[in-house]
Amino acid sequence: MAPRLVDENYLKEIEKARRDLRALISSKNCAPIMLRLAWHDAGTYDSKSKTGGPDGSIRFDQELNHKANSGLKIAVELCEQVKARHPVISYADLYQLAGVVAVEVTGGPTIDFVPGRKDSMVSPEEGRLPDANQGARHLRDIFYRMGLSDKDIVALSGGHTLGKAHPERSGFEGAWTKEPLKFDNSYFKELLNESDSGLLKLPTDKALVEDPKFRYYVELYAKDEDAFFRDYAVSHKKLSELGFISPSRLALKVAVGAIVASAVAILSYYYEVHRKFILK
Amino acid sequence: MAFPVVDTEYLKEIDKARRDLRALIASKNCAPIMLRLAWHDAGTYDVSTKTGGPNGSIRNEEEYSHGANNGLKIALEFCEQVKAKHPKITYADLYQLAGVVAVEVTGGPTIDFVPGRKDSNICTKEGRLPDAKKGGKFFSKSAKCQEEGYGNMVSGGLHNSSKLFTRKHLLRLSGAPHLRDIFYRMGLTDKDIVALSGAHTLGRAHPERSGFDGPWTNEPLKFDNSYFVELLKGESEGLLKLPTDKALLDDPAFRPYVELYAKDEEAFFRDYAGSHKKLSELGFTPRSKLIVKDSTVLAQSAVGVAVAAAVVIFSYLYEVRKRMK
Repeated sequence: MAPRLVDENYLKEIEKARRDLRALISSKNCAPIMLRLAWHDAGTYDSKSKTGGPDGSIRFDQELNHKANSGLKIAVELCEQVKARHPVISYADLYQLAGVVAVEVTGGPTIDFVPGRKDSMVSPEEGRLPDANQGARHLRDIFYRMGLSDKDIVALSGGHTLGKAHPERSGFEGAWTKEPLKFDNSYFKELLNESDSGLLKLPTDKALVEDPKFRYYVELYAKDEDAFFRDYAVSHKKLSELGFISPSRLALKVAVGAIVASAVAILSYYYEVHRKFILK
Repeated sequence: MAFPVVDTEYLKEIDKARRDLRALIASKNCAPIMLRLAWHDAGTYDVSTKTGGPNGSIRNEEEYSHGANNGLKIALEFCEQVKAKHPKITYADLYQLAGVVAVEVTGGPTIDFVPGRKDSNICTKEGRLPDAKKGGKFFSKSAKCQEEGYGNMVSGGLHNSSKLFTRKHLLRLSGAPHLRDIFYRMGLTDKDIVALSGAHTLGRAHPERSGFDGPWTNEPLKFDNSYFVELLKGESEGLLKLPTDKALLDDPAFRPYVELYAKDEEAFFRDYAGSHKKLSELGFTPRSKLIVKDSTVLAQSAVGVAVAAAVVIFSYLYEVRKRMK
């Protein structure tokens, strides 16, 4: 996925869109569904085939109609309001920016956002996102395929600190925490709380406590919110950039490549010259 | 009360409080009343006596029961939730931080926030905040003129009725004197008055609070330049215009800013951020230099040591050379 042109005007539009998103997400209290939209656009990435990922493809009915995306049309429509005012921004960037802002306005960490994602017209096949009914093995299948790690799996699951499940969408019901509009480490505290609090725990949530490698992170995040925020910010950024090379990073790579190539050329030349003189 | 020590821990608590405030304000949709709280704590400042200002005094019943503060108890109670989690932070800082976050989450500009205000329990006398009814002190007398010819006059048709309206009369009609009395007393300017009035882009007036009713704009939870656009449009169904709002249109020094902000939102955001910061720091010397005390003092000390060492070395060498000659 080649990056798009990110000039000064584009960056200005991103900042204006960011402010519009803050106002929209705060006033409509829709941070959870915006976060889910960003995650479901990005989470289709396959690091082997380099297909899927945060490319705006989720806006097409073909993908919106996937079972895992039930209910997300609302979020796509809300984002349309912002896209209408800032048409130059790609859908891919817009959805990831919405995810970042959703975490910010609910009191979560500041996540670094780099613009430049290109939109794709191609939707991946159904089945790339996790199935809430499954366990640890399934989570690893899905997330390792994206190129993410055990730590990412647990940290990102902390996104369930926001929002609730709906019977008409996923089939499950209710919030994971007592304050579904507040981003904090409550999800992990509740996960370790064995008593029945009436709060939701999906089979995939419980898997985090049952698997020893995952459990280590659950316990860490339950007792240290700063650690959770730090790891979450990194994992969220990673997820939002799967398969995306930002223009500045690309330029850096090209520059480094050029320097290395010219260094090799120069050294080879001197080596040859040196050799000729020595042999003579 | 003493100034708080703004060390690394205080700054961490400020950041946590900022995040808590974002969550609270966004989820409860209470940005407007939080902004009003911050403004009403700060707006009591008197630059000549150095009394009042953003010092948390509004949390005392004596002050929150002033007529101008009707309804603000709600905002005080919201802030208590955050104070309970971060007791180290002063109320003065907390209320101003709430104001800054309120503007941010509703899509407004980022306002620079410097912590370190100290709390006071001394409440200023009622009457330091603007009275919304005072925009048109002389309106009732010349309401007719205002409708018929005054509008023309302000937009440049002075030659039409200049006999009737001397400059002094004009200023009285505009009702701006009250706004200037209040804001100049704080040490603020005409530009500040107009820019800060733009905060009416958020929220609404309540009959049981100020006596007025309704929002100023069509999106009272969105911070943008609509307030100015609506002001220039004239009467709009269902939208509020206080006498003090209209005074901005009628005054020849205020009006250019209204027109600028109505057509250039970036200019409004830029000026608003500047004026809001000023207001939030009235009577407060941001000791930002103290916050980075460690590194600058270290740097200054290092420079001092280097200079002293250089002087000693050169003097020694000079003496040595002198002796050798």
